[in-house]
Amino acid sequence: MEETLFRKQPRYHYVIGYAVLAFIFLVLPFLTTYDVLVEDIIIWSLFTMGFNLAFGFTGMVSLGHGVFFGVSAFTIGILTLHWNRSIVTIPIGIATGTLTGFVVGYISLKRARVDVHKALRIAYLVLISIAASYVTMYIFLSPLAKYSGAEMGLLGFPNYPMGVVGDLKIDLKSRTQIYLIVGVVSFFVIGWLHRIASSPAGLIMRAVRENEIRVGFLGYNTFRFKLLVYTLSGFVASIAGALYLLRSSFISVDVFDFKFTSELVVICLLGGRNAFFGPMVGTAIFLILKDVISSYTASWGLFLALVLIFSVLYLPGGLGPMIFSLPKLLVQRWGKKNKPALM
Amino acid sequence: MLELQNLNAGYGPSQVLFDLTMNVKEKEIVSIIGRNGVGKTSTLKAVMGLIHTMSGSIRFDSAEMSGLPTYKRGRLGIAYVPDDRGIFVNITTAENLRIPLIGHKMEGKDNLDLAFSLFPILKERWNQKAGTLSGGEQQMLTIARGLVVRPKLLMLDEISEGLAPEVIMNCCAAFHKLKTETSILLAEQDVRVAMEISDRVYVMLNGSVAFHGTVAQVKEEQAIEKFIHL
Repeated sequence: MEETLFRKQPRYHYVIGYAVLAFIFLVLPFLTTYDVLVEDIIIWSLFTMGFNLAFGFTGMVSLGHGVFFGVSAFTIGILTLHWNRSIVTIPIGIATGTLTGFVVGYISLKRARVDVHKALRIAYLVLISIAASYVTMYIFLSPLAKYSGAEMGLLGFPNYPMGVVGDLKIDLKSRTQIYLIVGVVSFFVIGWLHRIASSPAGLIMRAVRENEIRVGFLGYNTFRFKLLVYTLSGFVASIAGALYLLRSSFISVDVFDFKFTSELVVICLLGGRNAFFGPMVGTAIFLILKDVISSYTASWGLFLALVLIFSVLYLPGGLGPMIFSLPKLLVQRWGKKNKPALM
Repeated sequence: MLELQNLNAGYGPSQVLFDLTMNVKEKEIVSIIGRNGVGKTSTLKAVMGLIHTMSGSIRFDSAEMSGLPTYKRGRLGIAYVPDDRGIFVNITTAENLRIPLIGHKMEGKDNLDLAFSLFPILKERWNQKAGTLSGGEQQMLTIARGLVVRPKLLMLDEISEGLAPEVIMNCCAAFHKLKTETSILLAEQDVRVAMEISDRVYVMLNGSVAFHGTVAQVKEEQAIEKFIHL
């Protein structure tokens, strides 16, 4: 009874979806000469999907995710250069990024309790995350300039192997190894996020976005819940930061700028913030447009703006859901043509 | 079960409830009646912790509750059905009913059957987005969402609003059945509905209780004529 009352999505969707995902993440980079672009899309997809749990699902507009991304990457980079050349730095970096997420989330959500007007609640989070982005930016520019490379960015992240255990090492110069690490980690983290988003927790996220007060009197501590989601998205941003550093061997303080994170907002709107895989579609479109158009003109942002305006006006749900419903529409069309007798 | 003692409460600096004393016993249906703006809804909101308590006490099952955040009051077994059709419009009917069940770690079946027997239409709308339901259906969903967790106290704000008379009568019958395990506190503008289903009635005037007693007493004292049809 329970099963039929709260019905689950058919399983084969998942299998096909995950197969496609695995192909893109693990095989595609080796098949194409656009491997750098594909890798970018993978890392950025992970980043935006984590961000979208907070932004699209729970309705928390934050411009601070670049901070967690950057703190994680810088921590790994600096520790590797100055302390220890093994992969212990990676969990430390991710933990630092996540902790930063927790602190920023705690400060901004604590103030924005439910008795504050909704618009103000959103404003608090936006403003405090912008403040956090400037604070960290200046920390890394000034007191830590010696380590972070200031405006130059972190240079000299080792191009020689990183130790794992014993003689096992990650060769940062090996395309194969790095792509496999990025692909496998992103695949599993995105799978995990998908599980969360389709679980009861995902349902509560959407309910919180709609009306937090009501969720409160149904017996949920919405403050703790929002903080958990925010920290989770900070954690995913930190993982993305770590992967980015491993892939590019470079990170600069530009990521702390809130403009960097506002690109994530654009990506989510473009791809559809209500659909779990929307941001991934958004990322692909965004990065491909950027790559193609910026090879012709410097003002590629203009084209992006046009696409964004178009999608806001005519596809308020984003491009993602449209692309995913395309096969279904085609099947329906095809079905109609073949079975006119039923109509 | 629920006792409000000399409660003063309000929105920020403006006070709306003055020295309010009220109680709801177990297995009892109590109504608050009164004209617009006398503080019926505010009383329910104060119990739920949605407005600020300045002084006085709110006790539930003889435990002081006035400092608790809203979600803890919900967990104690108070369900609140607001008058603004507080459903989540972007998710389905099923998911709307699932959210309180998850929060109270409850199994759905029996409790959902209760909701279905009350409002069979909800079963037809099961996988439909709640925002596409009609006004009356949304109202039913709101009540069902309060009921599915089998609360100790169910607080309803203006149930008669937007429901067809027969549905209201169904609700009233159901509330009488529920009485064995759930007390009900109703804020109601429609005096006839309130008199029909309640055991006791509080008549409010200007943020405090002007009269209270059983339905028979209210009739006898002509309290409605005195305090409502001024």
